[in-house]
Amino acid sequence: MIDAAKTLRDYLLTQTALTTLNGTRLWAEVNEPPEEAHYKPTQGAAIVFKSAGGPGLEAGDTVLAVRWQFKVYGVDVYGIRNTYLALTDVLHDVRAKGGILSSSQETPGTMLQEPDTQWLFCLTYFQTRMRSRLPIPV
Amino acid sequence: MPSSLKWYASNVKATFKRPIQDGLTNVAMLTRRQARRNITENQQVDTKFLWNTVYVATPEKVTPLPPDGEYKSLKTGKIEKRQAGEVVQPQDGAYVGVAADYAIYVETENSFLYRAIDQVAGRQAEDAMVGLSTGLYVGTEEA
Repeated sequence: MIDAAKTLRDYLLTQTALTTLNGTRLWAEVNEPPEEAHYKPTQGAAIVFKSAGGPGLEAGDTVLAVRWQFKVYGVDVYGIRNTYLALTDVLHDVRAKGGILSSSQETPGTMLQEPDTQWLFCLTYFQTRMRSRLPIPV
Repeated sequence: MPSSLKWYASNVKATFKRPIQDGLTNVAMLTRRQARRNITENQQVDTKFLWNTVYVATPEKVTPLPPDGEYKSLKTGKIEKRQAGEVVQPQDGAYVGVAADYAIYVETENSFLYRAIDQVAGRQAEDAMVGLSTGLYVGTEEA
């Protein structure tokens, strides 16, 4: 079974149109930037994502479909929006790249504010399809 | 052999409209019940306002909602203000929504609503289809 979150993170880290904005501030399977990262929006853009549903695998299935929840942070609304747009550019309609068979945006971005920290963020959802197993080496 | 076929489209639409609406309402009610179950299983119940504001809206009615106001937190014992957002009724079909204005934050932490849709679409799809086919059967009988 593949690690879908790692596959997705690895793919996104190869996308320079995105990483020029958020660098390596890209955390998988978390709801907010981890405390040990000491992230603050004044540092610039950051993205967290986690799996948020999907049909799961049934007997015989070889393709894993996952729904992903993304939260995009940044200095201000404009910075967040730029990063959100870059994310959409590199993740919507991916075809057979970086372990992703196909992908699509499911829900366009909505600007919200974290209740505790008051940080602004853009909430959006994508779906990906990946092969459920890595090829067996021969 | 008839040389033409008269297609009573408006009669057909009228006959099927009610059972289709009933089927969709059944699926929405299943989703509402599963979403509430998920809120409980996720331990997201505090004032129970969120749980009580999971609603189904159809063109005719909306399931009952609690009033805005002050509710006691089960976790802290404090009184918390709780408020519901606007409830929109569809022109056709059925909506499942959560009126509590903070519901989106609870959903993003641990999904209860989208997961309910997955669950109803999967494990409970058979139940949902029974509801739908029952509705269609009634329509056929009426015709």
